[in-house]
Amino acid sequence: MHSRVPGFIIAIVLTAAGAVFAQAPSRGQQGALPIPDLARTPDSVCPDNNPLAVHACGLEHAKTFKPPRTTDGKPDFSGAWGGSQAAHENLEAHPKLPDDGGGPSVIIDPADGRVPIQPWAEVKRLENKARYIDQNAQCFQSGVPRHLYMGSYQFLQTPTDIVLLSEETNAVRIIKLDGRPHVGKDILLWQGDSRGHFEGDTLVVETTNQNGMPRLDQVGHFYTDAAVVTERFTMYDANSILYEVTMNDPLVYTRPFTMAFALHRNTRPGYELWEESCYEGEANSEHLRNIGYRNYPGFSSKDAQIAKDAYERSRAK
Amino acid sequence: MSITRFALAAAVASLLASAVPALAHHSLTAEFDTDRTVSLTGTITEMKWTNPHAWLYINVKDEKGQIQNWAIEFATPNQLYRRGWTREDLPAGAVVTVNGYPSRDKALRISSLEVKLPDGRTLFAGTPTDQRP
Repeated sequence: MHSRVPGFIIAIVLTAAGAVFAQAPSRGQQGALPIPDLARTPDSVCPDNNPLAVHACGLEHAKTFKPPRTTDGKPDFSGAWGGSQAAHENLEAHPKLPDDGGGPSVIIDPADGRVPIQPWAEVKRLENKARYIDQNAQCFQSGVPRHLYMGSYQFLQTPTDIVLLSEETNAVRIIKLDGRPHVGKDILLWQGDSRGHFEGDTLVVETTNQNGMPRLDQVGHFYTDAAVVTERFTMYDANSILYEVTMNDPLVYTRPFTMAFALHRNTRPGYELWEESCYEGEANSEHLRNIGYRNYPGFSSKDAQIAKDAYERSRAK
Repeated sequence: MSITRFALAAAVASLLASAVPALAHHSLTAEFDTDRTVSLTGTITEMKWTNPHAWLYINVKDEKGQIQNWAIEFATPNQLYRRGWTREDLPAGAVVTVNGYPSRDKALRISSLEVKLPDGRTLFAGTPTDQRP
């Protein structure tokens, strides 16, 4: 992706810098939203409405759980899975509103549940939310990790590949398990380039080469083509996977941060993925443009460096 | 079939607090005014089972007696099918009542929460926020 930081972004960064500092959320707000209960989720040994709880419980049960095996002895993740959509609304804790189902933060590290976003990037996030159409509304692919908190999907597994099929936009993501390196840095993809390996019974996947177009949620959290996304999939009972994902994008975030939630097997008899030819009737972006929104042009690491430098110069004055 | 009455009732969103919010593909509040709800009764002119959202079109008579064709946004066809909807549920000519959020651009368009069918059934039209199996 070419660098394309329009002047208005830099202007917004400069003029809004003080406002962001004034509005910077206080730390330690993770407990602001009550969590209704920690009852065991049906067909699962752990609750899953609290990421901290499912993380601790999932790791504990994974110590003794014996996952199903493939013919080559690996944990078998094949099957249809799905999860909560709360992270799609907002990675952080958010209330139930007409627009949102609400829920606690999915961030388990840092412990306060807040996205450790850099001040300049918080300005950009607010601009994303206020000015640009979410790529998801336009039927583009959701990227990694967002496609795993959007709808239902199916995992197909062979000794050399795990293929993730999403019903949403009929997206396909292929995780190579044969040890090959990532593709070259100039190849940028909506779903990135994923390489996986097993650490014990945990599938560990590193994804790079995303194109800077997908966002992480509907409130504008974003990442660039320089992001390295590390996911850990660990089964802790027959129908549940503990999903941990660490985002590392040093230009945008002050430190890596980790999200966690449960994926549950779809045990509905006869369940199958269906076609979702998302683009065929896509009309929302036209409606949104009518009220002033624009297509999201993406944000490259080069864009990020320019915006960050401009912001820091403005603060130094 | 003749056009039925027009009813436009702005109300606080809590009026339909039991409805599950949020369309899966985009931020609802960006496009629709979720502080108000609208109730429309009209005659179906067309139902489009398209992705990423199905659209229902109904003719509604306004307060001046003029017929207006409203567009009603639903969830994805797959989500409607899995909820038990069929293509026979919304035939052209049927009279339905829909509740939903009005468009911010003042177009004749709402994001639907539920649809009341002629046989008395009420169908939930939005997208569940929880996609767990």
